Amino acid sequence: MHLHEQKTLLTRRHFFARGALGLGLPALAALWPTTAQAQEGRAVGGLPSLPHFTPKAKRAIYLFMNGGPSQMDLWDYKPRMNEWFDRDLPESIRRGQRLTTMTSGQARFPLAPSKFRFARHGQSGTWVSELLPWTARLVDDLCVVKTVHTEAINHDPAVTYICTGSQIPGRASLGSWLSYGLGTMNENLPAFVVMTPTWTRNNDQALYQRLWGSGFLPARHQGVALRSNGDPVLYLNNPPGVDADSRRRMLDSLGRLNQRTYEQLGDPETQARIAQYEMAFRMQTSVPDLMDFSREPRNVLDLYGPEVNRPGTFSASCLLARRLAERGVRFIQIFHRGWDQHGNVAGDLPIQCRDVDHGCFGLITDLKRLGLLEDTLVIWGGEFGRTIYCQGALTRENYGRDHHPRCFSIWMAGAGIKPGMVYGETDDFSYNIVENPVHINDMNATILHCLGIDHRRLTYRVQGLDMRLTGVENHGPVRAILA
Amino acid sequence: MAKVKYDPSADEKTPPAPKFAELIWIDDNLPAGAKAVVDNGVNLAWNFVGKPDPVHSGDKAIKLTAQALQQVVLQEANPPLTVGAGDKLFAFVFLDPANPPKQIMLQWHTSNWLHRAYWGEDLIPWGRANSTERRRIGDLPATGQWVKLEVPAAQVGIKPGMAINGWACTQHGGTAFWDKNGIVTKTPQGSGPFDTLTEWLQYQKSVNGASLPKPYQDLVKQDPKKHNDDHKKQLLKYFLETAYSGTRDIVAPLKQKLDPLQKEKESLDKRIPTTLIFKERKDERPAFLLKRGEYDKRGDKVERGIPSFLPPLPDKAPRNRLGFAQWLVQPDHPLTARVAVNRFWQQCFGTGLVKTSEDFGSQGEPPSHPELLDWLAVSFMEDGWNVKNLMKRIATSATYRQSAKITKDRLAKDPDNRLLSRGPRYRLDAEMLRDQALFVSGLLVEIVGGPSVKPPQPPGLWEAVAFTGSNTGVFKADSGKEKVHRRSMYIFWKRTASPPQMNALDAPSRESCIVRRERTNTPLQALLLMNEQQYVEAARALAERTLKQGGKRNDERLRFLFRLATSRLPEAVEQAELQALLQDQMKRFQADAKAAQQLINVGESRPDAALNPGELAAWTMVANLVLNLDEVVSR
Repeated sequence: MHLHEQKTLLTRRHFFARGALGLGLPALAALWPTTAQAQEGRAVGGLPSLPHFTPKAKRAIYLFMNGGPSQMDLWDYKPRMNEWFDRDLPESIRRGQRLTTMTSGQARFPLAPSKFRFARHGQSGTWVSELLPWTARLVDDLCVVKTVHTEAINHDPAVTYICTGSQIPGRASLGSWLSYGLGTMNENLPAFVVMTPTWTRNNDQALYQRLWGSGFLPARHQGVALRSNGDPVLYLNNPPGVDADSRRRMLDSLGRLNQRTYEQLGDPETQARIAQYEMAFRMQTSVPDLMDFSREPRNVLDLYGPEVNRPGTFSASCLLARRLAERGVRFIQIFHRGWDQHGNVAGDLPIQCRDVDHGCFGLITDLKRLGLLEDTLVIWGGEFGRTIYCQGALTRENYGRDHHPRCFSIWMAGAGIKPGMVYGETDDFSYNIVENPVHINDMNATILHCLGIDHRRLTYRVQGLDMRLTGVENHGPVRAILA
Repeated sequence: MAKVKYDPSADEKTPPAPKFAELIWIDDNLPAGAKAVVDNGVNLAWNFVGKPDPVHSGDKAIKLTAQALQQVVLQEANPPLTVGAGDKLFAFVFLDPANPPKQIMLQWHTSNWLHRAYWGEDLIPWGRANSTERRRIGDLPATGQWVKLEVPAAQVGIKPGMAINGWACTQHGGTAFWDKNGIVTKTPQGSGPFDTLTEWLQYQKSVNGASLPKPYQDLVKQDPKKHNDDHKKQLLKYFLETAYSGTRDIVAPLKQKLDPLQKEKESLDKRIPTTLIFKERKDERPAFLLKRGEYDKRGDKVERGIPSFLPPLPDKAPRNRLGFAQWLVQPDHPLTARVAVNRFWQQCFGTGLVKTSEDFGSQGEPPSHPELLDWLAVSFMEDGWNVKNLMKRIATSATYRQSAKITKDRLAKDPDNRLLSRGPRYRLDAEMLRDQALFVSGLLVEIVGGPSVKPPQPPGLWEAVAFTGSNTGVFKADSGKEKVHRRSMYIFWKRTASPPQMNALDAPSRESCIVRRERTNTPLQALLLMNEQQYVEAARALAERTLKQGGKRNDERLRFLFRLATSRLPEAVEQAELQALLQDQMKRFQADAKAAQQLINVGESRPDAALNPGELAAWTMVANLVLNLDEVVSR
């Protein structure tokens, strides 16, 4: 074939269509589908055996509160604790359980009742703290689970555990499992997007790339960070001085030369590469379009609160999450930091809540408005809870709380989940679970279930072991909260 | 020193150790030698005021009115305050009832400022919360009266023997008066000389012998009654040499000579980089079976050894790493050598003869060519484990030198090339791709060894995840060619936020052991190779190299450039394609000088000013294309 003939035949769409459909290339198949496929709503990539059954949720948004939100100051209302102010945690409650070294040396474990007011909200009458006035308006859409528990007691292993199913680094994260198992529904965006918004206190525990890493799964399944400063996706923008026309012109030549290489050597990877460069070019338009809020109506922006206009805030990230969900991104995870209140719960917890409360309201309300909540699952929660006993100085007005892995509260909403319910019960001290425990592996199995996945059957063989997100012990979805 | 006479009866006259007492450090003046830090931003001048303003002690107090976060700071006080065991730091404060601060803080400087205590809200973000760097002591004191603030030195991480030479009174908002800052201590201030051994021992005991060598430190911490004669002799000798007033005249000039030499030695030592090494412990560390892997549920004690289903350690081998290493490479089994040659094979062919190169066990894949693997393994051992010979054997083999061309027929019969029906072809690893671009363009600095380097990366990647206050919290790129253009194996690696130019191309996170990488093909890689600063810089440098060394005519230059990157000359159609691109880009950049300047200025190195910017920019785009060719990114 002569070059001029190629020129007319091989437009970039043509390249792409040939790459994706004509050859059935393994490397490309796992990547991002064509427009035609996306419009049909079919996923591309993923495993042929998935979903295992008809899913309620097509996608999920996980609002991760990094540091361990204080359950008894937000969701797990314990009015009896007022009588217990400054009294010692009874041994019958503690039962010799492990503490962190931050408080294990304390001479006393004086009880610190929450200083915040609680009220019942909605038809469901769910108790919510005054710190979450906006989220409180949503309770009839939420399923609050008060009995999630974990074994890990410090941040790094605990966050790694809940995000990857193991306390030890090296496993695949929830989002990368979904990308691997279910593939993607969008041609121009990654299947798994991560955001790390700013937070007011700007002082706290670290995050780790592994929380959205792909571990043993191929790296294309790792979460792609969407950034609020600089290039929204790394290296998205052309270098200074190179405009879209110049890039297009370069890509046209590159495509033709690579096509020639393909014709000579016949390596399917070459075809895949041609398609990837075209995809990259399309992302240069689609991503800025995604990030541009200018066509969002005022009343929609208002749902998310005033901070939505400040790029990089939690509210702005929530709106972006909705825009990503609309565009068919499979899994969106927002990591909000600063929830590690060892001291000054009175001063810091309200600031943390202010950061996220309005954004949560905006996200759920907006998804509902667009009908997207019907096939989108939303999860809110951290890696563990906090202790009822005080760390450091205790007054009625202020106190600190250490890490507590034995129970903590999360909420889920949307596709596959019963709305307006509270699940699980803890003792008067929010220390031990008395009814309906939900291990973090149960919770992850529940998330997978909503997305049409049997957690026992989504496996990947590594060093002779069939790895799965939820480990080998007997865990499973929480049937009682499934819609 | 032997001539020095010391009269032990003086010790009997030394009074008993002093009791705790207040020592006022800042009252109406700054302490000796202290310098106020004033920048009229956060750091205000020390404003000593007298009555009618409230004064607690002496004639004056310090008045501080803060707009948000402001403070008064002094540093470099000399002599400093020496802190002993059980000491408490204190200050008096009077909060203006009409305009109280939201938060007040005291800060002390030892070798750093990381000792802070505060009262009230937590608005001042310095240091790590809930630690000695930022310790909350309590609520704000009552306003309109003098209140004593008191902080045990230990609570803010000031240990016995440390010296305080800086002090700050800090406020968030409001007006407050500060007075009578000091320490409750029983430690004699100043470090000598001392007239008697007892005095010196009293002093050393109160500071836990902080500045003494370890054996002396242990001795002074003990009850002196427990010292035997030998101990006493040692202590006396050390005292006479270092701290006795009677020997000062002899010691001082010697010390004057010694001190700079010691400093020089220290700074020399500091310049030698540290590296970590393995060393066997003197005693075996006891090891136990852990029930269900729980670290606190110990089962039987276990001994060092090899799992019993495997051959035992050789009789004479030591029961440690060395013995294990000897066992691993014993000549009577090929297991280790098989694993080793398989990895080198994987490096050359992209896939090992055993595909699961990390797993040769029953769960791994059997080798595609078992006899070949064994032959390579045995000859590797017979060669004395010579890696160069092995690589040469593989690289010069007919199998390796086959064409990578895939025919339909072969693709059907041998889709993954496990039968080696063609030469290997795969995308280069992250490190090799970057090194290749730097090398082809002539930018690569091939120095071997030395500390890790930080080539540029987009801002905010570390900040997005780092623990606040982490020493890898803020990324600062290195500058200088010898840093930023080194081979990728030298790139500094923060595991929780790995270098993006490596991460995007499947470099493992280094959080767990990976011997076999995935090789993915994504649009993010395309964006990286087209737009990342160093790849763009490499394209420009390659363009410069082409213009300077590639001949006078554009067709010559294109051939030169293409050959550098692909090791072959372009065919006519390829040449025509590149020629057309060059002309189009030339037109664009000659018409837009600003764009040309912008493009050629990307990166650490500067473009050659003698070259025409428009021409260089156009060639940069051609080089950018060539460095992105499938043929260039694949081997």
